Amino acid sequence: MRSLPELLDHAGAERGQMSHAHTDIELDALREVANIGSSTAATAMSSLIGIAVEVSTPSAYAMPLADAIERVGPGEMIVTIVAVPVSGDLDALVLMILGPSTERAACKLIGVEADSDVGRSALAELGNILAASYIGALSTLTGLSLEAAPPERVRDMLRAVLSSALLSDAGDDQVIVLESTVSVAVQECSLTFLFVPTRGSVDEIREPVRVAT
Amino acid sequence: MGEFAATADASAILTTIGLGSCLGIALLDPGGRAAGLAHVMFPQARQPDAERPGRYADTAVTALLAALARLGSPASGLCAVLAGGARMFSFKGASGPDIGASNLAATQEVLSLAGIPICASATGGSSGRSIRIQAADGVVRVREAGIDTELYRPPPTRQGAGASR
Repeated sequence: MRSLPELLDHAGAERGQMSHAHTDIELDALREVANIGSSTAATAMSSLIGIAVEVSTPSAYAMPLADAIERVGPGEMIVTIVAVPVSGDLDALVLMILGPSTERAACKLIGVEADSDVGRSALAELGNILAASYIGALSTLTGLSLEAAPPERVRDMLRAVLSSALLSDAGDDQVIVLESTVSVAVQECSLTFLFVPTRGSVDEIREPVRVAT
Repeated sequence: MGEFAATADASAILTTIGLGSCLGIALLDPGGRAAGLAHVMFPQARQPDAERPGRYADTAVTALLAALARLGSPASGLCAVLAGGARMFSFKGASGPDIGASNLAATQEVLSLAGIPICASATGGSSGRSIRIQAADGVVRVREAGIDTELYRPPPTRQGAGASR
């Protein structure tokens, strides 16, 4: 079986020929990573707000950046994104995406006013707590040493924010995205988590996961 | 993202949405009716990418010029309108250095080499932008922070004698 980085290199050389059966197996292992991460984040959120929180079945995909962004939502939709860069044994970005209704609902749940300075910094802090638990779970699962940098919160058009966060020198042919959604049952409040390892880092999480599953 | 288009169809609207660090390059022929638009993601092509020249500032300008020339608008009469090239996050990492600024600098350089003036721009800062061009009159509108503004309107020409500024 070829490793993901090899597949990625291959895809870079022969773009549009990523329909290898291997990829599904590789992505299954990564899906497990997203599952552990978002379940742990959901537990953290539930204990923070005192309400039950549901976690969707995560998806993992490898596709061109433009297509990956398209999957998340309409390009001009105004969203709040809390981004936490991860470094250590691997480099990655954890992105927490809140749509307009979720932003209001999340502020209400944590008891702050939306569209205020306090509300904005509370959302960034919420993102920090959830991303930290996501990353912590990942670190425990894989045995990798991972450090989270301070969160940055940006509110703008979905495509503008995601493309700016995810464009790198490595190019845009194939990005690996682990996506999971955490929602609060009684409110119109659903957060999407994206975990995006940078190219070359993918093997680091995939290998231990394969042993673990 | 990474695509480009050119048209001489007066009823067409060229648009690209959600430019962050990416840069929208519009080339307009104020005398004629042709217009082109590219959504570039990176400053320079590392190797020729015949499939998607619109991804890189240098190859996108070349591709737009060729497409506009085919529509009867030579480079000598064109002007450029730029939007995008923002820096939305301050962290390094996946976004690496300031790609938005690099996209803008590379585009300015390649336009200058081609002798094409920049007649209007909305670049830099930390806001995302969308750009819309009405081919009929060459008016360029930009949406930024939820607000639509007219970024550029071509001066009246012989063909468009009835148009008001």
